Amino acid sequence: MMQENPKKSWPVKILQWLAGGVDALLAPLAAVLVGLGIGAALMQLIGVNPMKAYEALWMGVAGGKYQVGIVLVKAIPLILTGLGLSLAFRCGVFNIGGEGQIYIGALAGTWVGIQEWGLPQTAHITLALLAGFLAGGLWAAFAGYLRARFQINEIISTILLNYIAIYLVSYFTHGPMRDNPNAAASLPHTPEVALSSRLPLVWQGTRLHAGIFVALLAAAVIYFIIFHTSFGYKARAVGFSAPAARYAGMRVVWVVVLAMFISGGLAGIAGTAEILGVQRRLRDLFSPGTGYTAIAIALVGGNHPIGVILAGILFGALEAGANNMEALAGVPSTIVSVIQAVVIFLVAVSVVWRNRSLRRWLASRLRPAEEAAAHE
Amino acid sequence: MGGERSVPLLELKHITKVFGDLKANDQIDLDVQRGEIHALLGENGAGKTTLMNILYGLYHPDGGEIFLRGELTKIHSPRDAIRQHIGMIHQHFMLVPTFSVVENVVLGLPVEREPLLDLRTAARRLSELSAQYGLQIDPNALVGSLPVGVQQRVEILKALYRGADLLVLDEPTAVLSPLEVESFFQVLRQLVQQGLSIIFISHKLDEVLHISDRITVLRRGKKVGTLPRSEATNRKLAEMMVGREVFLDLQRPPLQAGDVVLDVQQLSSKSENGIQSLKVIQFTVQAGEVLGIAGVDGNGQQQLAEALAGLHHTVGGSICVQGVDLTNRPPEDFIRRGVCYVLADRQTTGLVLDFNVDENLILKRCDRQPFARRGVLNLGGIREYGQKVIHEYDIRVEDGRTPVRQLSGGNQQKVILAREIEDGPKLLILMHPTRGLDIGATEYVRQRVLEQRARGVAVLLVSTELDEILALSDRVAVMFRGEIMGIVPGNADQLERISHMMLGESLETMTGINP
Amino acid sequence: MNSPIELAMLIPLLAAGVRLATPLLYSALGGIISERSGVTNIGLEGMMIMGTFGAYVGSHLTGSAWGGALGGMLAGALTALLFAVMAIFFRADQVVLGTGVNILALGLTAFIYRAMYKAGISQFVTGFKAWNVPLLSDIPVIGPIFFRQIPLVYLVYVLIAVVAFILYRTTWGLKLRSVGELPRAADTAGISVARVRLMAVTASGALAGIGGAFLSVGEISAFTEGLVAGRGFIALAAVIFGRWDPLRAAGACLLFGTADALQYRMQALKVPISYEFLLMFPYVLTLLAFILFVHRSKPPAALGKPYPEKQS
Repeated sequence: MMQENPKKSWPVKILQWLAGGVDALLAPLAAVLVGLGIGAALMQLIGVNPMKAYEALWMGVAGGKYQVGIVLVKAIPLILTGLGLSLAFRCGVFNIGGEGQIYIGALAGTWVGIQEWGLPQTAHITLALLAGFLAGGLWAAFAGYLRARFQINEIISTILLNYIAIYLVSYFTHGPMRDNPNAAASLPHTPEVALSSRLPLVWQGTRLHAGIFVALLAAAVIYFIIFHTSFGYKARAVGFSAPAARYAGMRVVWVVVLAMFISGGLAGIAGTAEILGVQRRLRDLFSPGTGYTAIAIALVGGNHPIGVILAGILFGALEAGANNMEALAGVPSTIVSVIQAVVIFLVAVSVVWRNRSLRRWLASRLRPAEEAAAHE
Repeated sequence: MGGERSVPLLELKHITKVFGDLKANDQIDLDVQRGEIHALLGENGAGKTTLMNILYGLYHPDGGEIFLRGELTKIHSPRDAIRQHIGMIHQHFMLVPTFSVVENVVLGLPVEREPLLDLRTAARRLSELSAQYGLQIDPNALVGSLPVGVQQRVEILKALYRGADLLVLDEPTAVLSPLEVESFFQVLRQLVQQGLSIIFISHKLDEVLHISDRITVLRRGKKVGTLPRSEATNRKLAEMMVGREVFLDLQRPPLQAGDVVLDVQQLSSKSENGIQSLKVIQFTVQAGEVLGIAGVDGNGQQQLAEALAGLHHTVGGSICVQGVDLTNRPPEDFIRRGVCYVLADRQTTGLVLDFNVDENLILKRCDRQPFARRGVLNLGGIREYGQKVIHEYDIRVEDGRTPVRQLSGGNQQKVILAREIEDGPKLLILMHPTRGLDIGATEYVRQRVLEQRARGVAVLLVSTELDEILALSDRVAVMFRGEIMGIVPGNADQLERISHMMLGESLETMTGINP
Repeated sequence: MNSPIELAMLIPLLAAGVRLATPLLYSALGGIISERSGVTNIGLEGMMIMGTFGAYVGSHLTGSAWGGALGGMLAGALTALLFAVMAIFFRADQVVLGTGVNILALGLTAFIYRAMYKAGISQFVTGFKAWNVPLLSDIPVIGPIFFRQIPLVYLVYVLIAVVAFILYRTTWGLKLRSVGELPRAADTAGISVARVRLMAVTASGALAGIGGAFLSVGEISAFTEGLVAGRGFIALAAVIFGRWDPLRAAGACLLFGTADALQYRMQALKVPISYEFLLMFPYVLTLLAFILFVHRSKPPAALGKPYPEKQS
């Protein structure tokens, strides 16, 4: 005997959906506030007035059109990498190699970008992004294959690959791809990428480039992949329970490798976009730990594209504001890492909490036999 | 036999334990005399383990009192229980597989020259104990390498080493073959002779009737009654357990077998440490027939099931399904040929617990029509299908979008069954399909099996419950150490042969006939 | 191969290998203790970073190298304590927490250091000097390699033995291993799983902290940012490579340390390989070693899983 569920009207459905979103945002927001509080304490420690510092932070974020543009510019690589990581995490793979994948992607993308092939802009940009995607994707897929086929711990392999990638880029920027090889004084870098490969600015008066569209498009695509394709379904199944997936006939190895490929590919696009849109030439250490921050972004964003976008903007704001804080209030910008770490800790803890109370609440509404089975 | 009629060793008075809305134990009274074997009988979910967990200090009662040796006492933790000379042997052993027997016995106990471990003295004391109670073990053996029956002895010795004189055993025969059960019972009688008292939790009527002095039946958290063995019968106990008249025989319609669906020839494989795990396995299963595979858990059944799923590499022989050789092919090939599985481990391999019911129902068809077209999921179609199946298979759940984790064991099994049956199998493989399910769910599963058999599906049933095997199977094969000891008709009169085969005697030597 | 000239080249190389292996080994020992109790500790890198800085501060405040070592140990231990509370009592995901620890350590140490630098505090502090062990350092070949090092190296020799002894020959070690293999068995035996894990993780942080101290107060007698450079992760690789056993992990660390020493030598010898590839070499070697030799070594069975999993 089953009761039919009364059909829910669509305004109710939208409200429920929004409520879920707000609920998901609550923890990260609270975490940020706590993080800012701890940051303030640290600033007191070194004799800086936190209010002044946070004022500078705010100015750096919302002080004007230009500042908002910078926030978005910083958010772009974070969002792209975060999207990739969220897919990998949903598939159960701890891809800590975002950083290396960004570097490798940037290397390939820059190379394409430098070439003067006389291509129209759209084609050149697309080609460069594609090169970045492939390079980052293969770099990650390798680690994914090692993990799926040989059970080699992907945390260690991806981190080692990070260092290898960074040194590889260093080699190329100091060597074969170096601009001005004889100017020993300046920091080695590649020549600037061709005009035809540069991402155009899209907001007058700011430095916001077309990469933002790439990021938003990527978010839509990843959303579609995760929730509306059978590949996304398989990736989630593998992430939740690889044994069940295997018995159901899924090819777990290929699912993992493909998920990692897309994950690394997005990081590669992030690296390429950063060069084509902002820095215009590749040099050592061009990425300030974006790959690691993106892990926090995926987590805080609940591994969901919308969450990743919001978290990316949040952390981008922190980074943009931090530069201003350093310039105006003398607070070393690395305090942002501290705030980020606090956010990570609090969100990680709150996830468990939320699951626990959620589960308890749900359990209390179930049939007695089920609880009995759980406690026998 | 029954001890002195003075103060009972243990008295539980009005014990109550509540979890949320559920009264797991409701005003339960129990008394255990010195030197008695007292059985605690009931279905899954009746409250037996909860009650004993309270006795062992794992839970605190919400109401009621415990009297041990005549004195009111509180038991705050297992350590407390041990100090009061209560020992418990859980259904899932608390033994660290990578430790030796001595290390396991000594774990957590204070030693003389703390913190130095003196394993030699401990081993000596352990050997003395083992001789005293007739429980042979090798103190330095690695527990993980010991057969399950021996591991159980280690658990008992652990309790004795700590001075227990009241032993609580939770479903101890679940892992033993019938003959091992008999020697286990002898051990119990010996322990009782040495002055121990025993509480024996079980859901197996026959065993309980065989060994206990008195039997207490629990149902849905309440005590139904306590009977001395002389007054108890199978039927009476079953009625007390379930609360209604229970027909213990399932009617199996006559066999109408068709073509051979599964043909396993000389199948062999190696296990991880190089020892052969499957040895020259040979059998067939015809359409419309049920072949039962009996045997104590751990004798190669898992490997056989995995080989038939494409997940266990074989080095010799062949597996043919409907004439097609599928040896060592990947799982998807087996699935495509109409092989479906209902596995032992619902929660790890059968279901994705964090998916909802709808999603689990399409686990094997997530990239096929009508659930997906060209890689894109048809979410509406999936939902509709889910609703249809939930209705047809009477899965008790509010909505197809409920995470499967929240379903009861029986309903989870229904989801798995529904998924496999809806696939239209030619060969259905079931492993321990009713493990952990209450009587209602068990009946449901067995009926479905017979239904599929009537529809002409070839069924391979692996189970440790002999009554289940005999009720459902047309023929019974017994596995021991990776070999098939023999195949006999599925009638109750074959029980003794089957028991012997479960312990390693081959049918040939018993009957002189080549199977 | 035994010609005196080649031996003369080999000995300083191996001595350097031992020296470079030591910080890895401290962290690896810490990693073993933590993982054997069932807690995945990816934050070793961060704990080492805190150790580098803590040692700098400690030496600065006390004017002695040992004060620095103590400072490093405390810094690592406190960081680990924070991690442990969140991982054990709140049961948050251990990998995520470890990553957070790494980000925190980098940011916090840079933050405080830059503030100190601005305030005019010197980058340089009292560090350890090499001390030749009397008698032992005169043994041919072995002497120069193992016994002409700074005291922190000798300490790690002792620690290898101590950790191995505790792990295999004491009740503490038995409890630790039981908690990592089958926590519910330990629980029913009356062992507090949470307490054991808390102590194990804190100890691992303390050890990683000394490992970090080695890099600042032991090697360069100063502090700069970026000293650890991934060594915490290589230590983790050594733990897995060494199958969670102190002696085997020591061997793995020695291997990686020697590779590192080799790479420096090759740079000095102006070997015609670009120095970036040489810098890459230890990481590539670790990755290769991992791929080739680590099929399915069995970790502690309860590694990474919070306990208890259900609530009761």
